[in-house]
Amino acid sequence: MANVDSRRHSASFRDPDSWILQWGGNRILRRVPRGLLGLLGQADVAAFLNREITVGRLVAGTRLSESDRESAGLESSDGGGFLVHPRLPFVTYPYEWSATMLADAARLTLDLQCGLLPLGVELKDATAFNILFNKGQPVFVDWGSFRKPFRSDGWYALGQFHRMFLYPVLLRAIRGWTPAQSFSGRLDGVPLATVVKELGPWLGLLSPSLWLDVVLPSWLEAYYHKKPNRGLKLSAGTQLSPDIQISNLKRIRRLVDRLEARFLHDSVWRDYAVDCHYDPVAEAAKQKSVQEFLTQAAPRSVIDLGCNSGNYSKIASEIGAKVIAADGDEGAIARLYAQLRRAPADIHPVVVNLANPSPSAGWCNRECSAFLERGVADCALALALVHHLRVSSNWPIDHIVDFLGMLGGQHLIAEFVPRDDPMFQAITRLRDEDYADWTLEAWKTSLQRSFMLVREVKLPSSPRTLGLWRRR
Amino acid sequence: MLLMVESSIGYVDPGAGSMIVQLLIASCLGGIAFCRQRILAFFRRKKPGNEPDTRQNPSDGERR
Repeated sequence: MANVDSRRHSASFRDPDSWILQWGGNRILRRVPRGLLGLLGQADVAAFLNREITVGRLVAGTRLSESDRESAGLESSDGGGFLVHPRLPFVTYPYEWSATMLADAARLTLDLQCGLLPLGVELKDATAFNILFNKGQPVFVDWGSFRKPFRSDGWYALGQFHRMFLYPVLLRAIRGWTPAQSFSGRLDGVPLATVVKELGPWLGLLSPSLWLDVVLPSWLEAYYHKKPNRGLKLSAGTQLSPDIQISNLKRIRRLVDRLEARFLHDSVWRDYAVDCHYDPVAEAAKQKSVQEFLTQAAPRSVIDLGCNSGNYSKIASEIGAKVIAADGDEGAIARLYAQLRRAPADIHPVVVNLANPSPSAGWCNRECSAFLERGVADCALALALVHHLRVSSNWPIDHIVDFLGMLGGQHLIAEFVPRDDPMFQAITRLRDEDYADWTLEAWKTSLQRSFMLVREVKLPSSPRTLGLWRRR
Repeated sequence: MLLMVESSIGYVDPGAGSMIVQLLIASCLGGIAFCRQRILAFFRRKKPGNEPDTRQNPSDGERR
């Protein structure tokens, strides 16, 4: 039998007791310790987890059967076992979420911890990377995080929860930092010192709701740092009732709600008016043409580049494709996510700057995959996009076409926005260049290097042209 | 700073401050519950008609 360690996925290393094995196809295989298998055997724990799976907040997990285990050649030392999970359609990382998505993920983590504690289970860690999104809601995926509580009166992972969830949400509320900024350069969230520095000396003291989660911890850490020889031994203690911890976590949950309310209004609703500047006749014709093009191309998956509020993502989803909705504006993704929460669909919102997409990250830059590796689809939608890439990002036409070719598979639906378009003129107003190379002919010539024009529509009441292209 | 009891307990940085605050909350609330119980027992004893040696109920503030 093959040693299970040799099949361990190199990026799944943080937990010494639970890890992902090399996977293929539609399933994820996770090695778990014997203690976890015992917990899953408890009827009340299994019932709780099944309820969470049913409402879609927890990824499904079943024990790998003996026959499958033997045929896969897997053997686990010291009584551990294997769980099988379905692979979720699209992976996103916390730095690609809107702050509203992060707040939802925070609430899910707290709800799971509060629900598990009375059953004698807790979450071993509180990292935002334990959560993926599917059908417009957060999904907890790390079954390896379940264990018997270390202590009942305090959650060992609360410090990590602060760094990964509470502080980024707080910084979004008071400083407007998007999660991309909070996780910039580090995967473990915002450290306490950064939050203290941003709050400044007065804002912390004047906000009682932050005393227990920011001010007091920072005083205590400063005190203990001054006494390097003073060790603090924490022993396991599970004989106390977890009610106090649950009350504290519910208090933190209400704090997350209040902080989110402070930025929900401006990020979700205030900027909505910016969307509605297009001529209604042209817009209606464009939607009809995009729908026809998508029906003709019949892709299984679509990536909507610069999706904004997601109107075209919804059209793509209605023809039955899985849709990746990418936009660099965190507020636009927050708007789209808010709609998905109300009306779930197979649309996956992601905040990504297309001119600088998320690189691979973490250990040896192999722990988190780059966006360009994940964001591939049968068909790419480049609507109201390419003129931004030409003007704001200064990409030559060939570079734009090569980029679009990298993301879409078989088909590409692209809208060409010429120089006499009002939006083009608006973004070039202060620029000292005539963009003489930016013509429809040059655009089509460049595309014809790798694509073949299938259909073309000149939009009414607008100088724009819509094209359906198929890769040669 | 925080010494771990078991090997796989401690790979997450608990944040000394956050952990201590939780323990303080637990001990404060536990202490308040204990004091409140003592005060209520004191007033029960003082009420006219009560037996002077009323048995105190064991504190169950933390073990509900």
